[in-house]
Amino acid sequence: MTSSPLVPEISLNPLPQSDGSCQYTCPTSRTTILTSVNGPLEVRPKDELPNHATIEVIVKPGIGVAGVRETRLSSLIHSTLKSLILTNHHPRTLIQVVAQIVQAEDHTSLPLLLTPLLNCTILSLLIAGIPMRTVGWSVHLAVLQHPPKTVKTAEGQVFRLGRGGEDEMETEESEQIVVRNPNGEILGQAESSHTVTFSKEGEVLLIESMECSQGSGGQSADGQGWDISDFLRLAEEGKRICCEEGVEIIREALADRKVF
Amino acid sequence: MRLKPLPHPSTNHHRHHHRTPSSSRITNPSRPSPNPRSRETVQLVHYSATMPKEPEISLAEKTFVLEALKQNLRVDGRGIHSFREIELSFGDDYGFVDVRLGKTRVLARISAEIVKPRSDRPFEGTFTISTEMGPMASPSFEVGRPTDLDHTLSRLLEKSIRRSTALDLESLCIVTGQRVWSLRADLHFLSHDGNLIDTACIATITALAHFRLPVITVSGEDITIHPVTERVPVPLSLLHWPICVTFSFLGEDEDGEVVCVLDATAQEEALREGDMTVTVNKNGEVCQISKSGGVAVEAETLMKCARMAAEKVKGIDKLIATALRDDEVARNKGNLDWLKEGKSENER
Amino acid sequence: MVSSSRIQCKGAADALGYCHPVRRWWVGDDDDDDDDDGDGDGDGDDEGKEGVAVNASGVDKSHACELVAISPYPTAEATWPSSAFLLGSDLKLKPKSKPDVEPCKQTTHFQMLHFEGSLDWVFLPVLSTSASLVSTKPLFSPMSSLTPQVDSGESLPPPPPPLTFSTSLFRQISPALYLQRHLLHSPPTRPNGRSPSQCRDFTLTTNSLSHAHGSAVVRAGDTAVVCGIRGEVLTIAPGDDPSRFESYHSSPTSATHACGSRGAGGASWGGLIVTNVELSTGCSKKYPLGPPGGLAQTLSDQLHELVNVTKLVSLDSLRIYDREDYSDVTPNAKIKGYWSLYIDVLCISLDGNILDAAWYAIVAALKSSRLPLASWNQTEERVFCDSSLYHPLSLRRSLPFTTTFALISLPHSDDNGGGTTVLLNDPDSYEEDEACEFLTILSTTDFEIVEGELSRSPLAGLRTRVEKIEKRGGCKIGLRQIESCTHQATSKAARYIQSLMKEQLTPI
Repeated sequence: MTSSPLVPEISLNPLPQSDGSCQYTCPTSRTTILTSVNGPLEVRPKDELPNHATIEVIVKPGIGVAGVRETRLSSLIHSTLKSLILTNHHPRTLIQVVAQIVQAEDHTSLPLLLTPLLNCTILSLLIAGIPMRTVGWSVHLAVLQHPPKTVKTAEGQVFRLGRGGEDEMETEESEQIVVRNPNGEILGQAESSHTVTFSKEGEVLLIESMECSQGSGGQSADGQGWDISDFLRLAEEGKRICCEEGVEIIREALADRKVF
Repeated sequence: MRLKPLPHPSTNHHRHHHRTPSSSRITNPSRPSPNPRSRETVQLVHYSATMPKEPEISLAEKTFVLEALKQNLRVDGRGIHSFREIELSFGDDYGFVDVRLGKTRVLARISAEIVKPRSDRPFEGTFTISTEMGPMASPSFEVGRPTDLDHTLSRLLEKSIRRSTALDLESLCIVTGQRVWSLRADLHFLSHDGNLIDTACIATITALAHFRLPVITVSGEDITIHPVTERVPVPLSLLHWPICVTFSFLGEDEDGEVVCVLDATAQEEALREGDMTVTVNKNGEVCQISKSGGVAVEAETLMKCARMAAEKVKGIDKLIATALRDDEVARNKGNLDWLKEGKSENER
Repeated sequence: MVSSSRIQCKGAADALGYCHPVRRWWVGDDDDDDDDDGDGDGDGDDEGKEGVAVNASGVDKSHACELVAISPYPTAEATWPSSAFLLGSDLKLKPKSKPDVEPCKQTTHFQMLHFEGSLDWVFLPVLSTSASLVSTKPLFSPMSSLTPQVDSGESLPPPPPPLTFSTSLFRQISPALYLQRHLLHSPPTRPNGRSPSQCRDFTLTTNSLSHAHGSAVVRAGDTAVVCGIRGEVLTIAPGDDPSRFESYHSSPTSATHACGSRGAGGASWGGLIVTNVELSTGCSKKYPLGPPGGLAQTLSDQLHELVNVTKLVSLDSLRIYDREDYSDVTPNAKIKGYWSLYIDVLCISLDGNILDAAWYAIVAALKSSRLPLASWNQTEERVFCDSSLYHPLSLRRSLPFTTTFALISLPHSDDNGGGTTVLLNDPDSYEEDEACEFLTILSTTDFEIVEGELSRSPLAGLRTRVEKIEKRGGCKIGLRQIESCTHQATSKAARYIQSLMKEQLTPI
């Protein structure tokens, strides 16, 4: 059902020393993430929680040492995992997740990194056998004004989303052009970037949407922004992608492991 | 019956439980500002006493390994003086290499930036190596708490590669006193099954040999950096390839002499009583020797080890050269389509 | 249904009938070889059992009573204790019936046998660590009428008086339940007296710092934030490409340099505006003295991203051209340097929702900042600043503001089907501790001044433009709720702009 250019390259358990690991490569942006999960481990007394497992997420950049951007990424991943992992099954232990950014077009771009990080982490948690309430999947969508120029896109990557709504004035503008899992070049032409993560049941786990149109700022930025109803339609589409295709990707990746 | 209260649960259970890392090497960030306000590089956080350790090696394992050595056998069937198979694979970018030595796996990535040179060395570029071990390699490593292995590794790489001037820093100069290339090698340790030092060294050297710098033309006051699609980037000027070889001393052989094992696995490293690292290049020139403490070994044995290291390095050097050549051929063949599109002068 | 008396609890009970066990106890014997748990398998449980001791003194003796223990976690196997016993006696309580497993609830009923002696402590050994007595349902029924069942035909003793409990003590020992009980009222009220959609009043003072080029102090409730802006001149060395400095500013998602991605500088890719957040010592008990922790770093990165996403500052106003005055920019004017803005946010007091306060402080500080005129001196080949001439930064006209919400999920009562959620606008630190789901919306609304009053601009229509949405943690929020949040954001923006107008920083 999923066309192959959109399916990420997943390699399960490449690291022999970890409890669970996964290498994930996004096919269109060539971002490669390697995560390893260890747990439940012994926890430091000062981090110990009496009824829950402590989750620790470490994000290591591909170039340079970890800074505030990596701390923010690990904070976002941590808050998503807290609602997925059943921490009351292993209280007073530590579940340690380490994510290494192996390759990225742009090591400083948060939207390009967040989706692969989340997906890779969820897969390696499943491999490690950490008890989870449900699975989730993340997708990165970019909204453009015109179809991407001078960039090759994979089949099925670009689609149109009807705006609909109250005013039906101009039909040419009644559709948004959405690109799924864009690479850096497409993102540079985009108006807004949205990373949405949904669980299998359709619960919203994480939203990171931002305006990213080009411009030199100041008064030229006065008209930017998007409408909330457009966003909701986009989020619904993201939900469909995560709940159907995302879960399908997980199933296929774990098919020979008899996890489900 | 006796009642003992349990410790109170902590009230701040909603605090984020990720650790702030610190770098084993804080390089001076080159910012577009005169003031190096590097508040973004993170500082150390102090931890309490206990940290997870590797399980202690059992007596049965120890006896087995040492007895096998007495009969000139190693647990994984190798010879006493043979390396595990070295696998090198390169990424899409130049300067990225993935080295596997059995189960040990290290990634190395080279990146470059143009900065102002140091005031006392206006004609040299800079080169830093960053090694930060994390829990990915082994749960006994922690972010922000460098172990002895961390210190030893960074010191050895410093001596072997930087101090031995393997990389010609003067070739990195663009405009004397104003602009130079600043190279950075980031090593990521993915899996630890012994012999991280040798693997890290091979990874760094291979990545340096693989990396390409963009071509720069200077005309008067303007510096033009040509993107890779316009001009073919040039390799770095490496004067020689120093490669580390680590010997581990453990057990006794049939003559009662200490055994010098090459390329120890994690199990053998846990049992060893001493070690020595020799860095040699293919011409047999020794760049550095390090034997810090450990069991006393006769000088004759150490000389034999150094000679053996020189032999081994010849083989490793050839392997690296072959791998680089194969990768270059694969790129030129157009297996990587995007790179093929960029080369405008291929149509001869 | 046999009516039976219920055990009252002293010490940990509250006026609303909830018993929260304050301490967990080990029960052990001095003689370690004994088989304490009595299950005969001698599995080395020498240290005793872990469980909960409930003080039950004050209950009348010789009554058959019922103990109901409830675990809120659904588990496959029976995790609830199969026996409870009285401390100080060998009497064991056997479960009356098999524990029935209901969704989200698993109860075990114990029947206490007829006994003599005082009933001081009832001990429930917890067999599985996945069960917990921190339940959100009353562990023991409130002190409604007690009708003890008496075997003999004695006259009924008077029921013991109900317990009273101070609200501050209740809030301390059971903060989550305290908040939930408030929100379950109709209309839902927060412990601080606000309604869920009401945000705190705030005060703004600008230009209070004399050495900064711009500054603002914002107080919202007990959260106080100081923001100072300092500009420094950055000279471009000959041969440098100006686009390298501008790239991040114009395209906030990427900062690719010409020669590669991140470069040797590590974390320093930032661009011309550098944001830093510091939580000063003493701002909150949770953040003691030390290097910036996770929250300060995350906030620094978030605010930096916000400044660049919204493109508040016009890039042109930061450029220093090769010309003497600021009359006209010729197309060939060379860029000789940049103003680099350092935005430092210092949180003096933290009572929740520092992001909104810090962002508002940054906007106000940028609005109030005035930089000296900088020009390129050809002879000296340096940038000179004229300290007698100051000019404000050229900013956006429509100002975006952030609104943060915390989501509290209320447990479902027996009547409802599922749990409900309440979104709290502008949470304080108590509410932030109890919530794990947060939503932040950055939105712009066009206003205009009509007869001295602020009103929505009819030209832009009634739409609010959203520029950033961040939702993290938890899983309970619905997409429709996000829409309602943007409407709340609009009213808050109006108050922000009115406050700016009072400080004579007319945004329109």
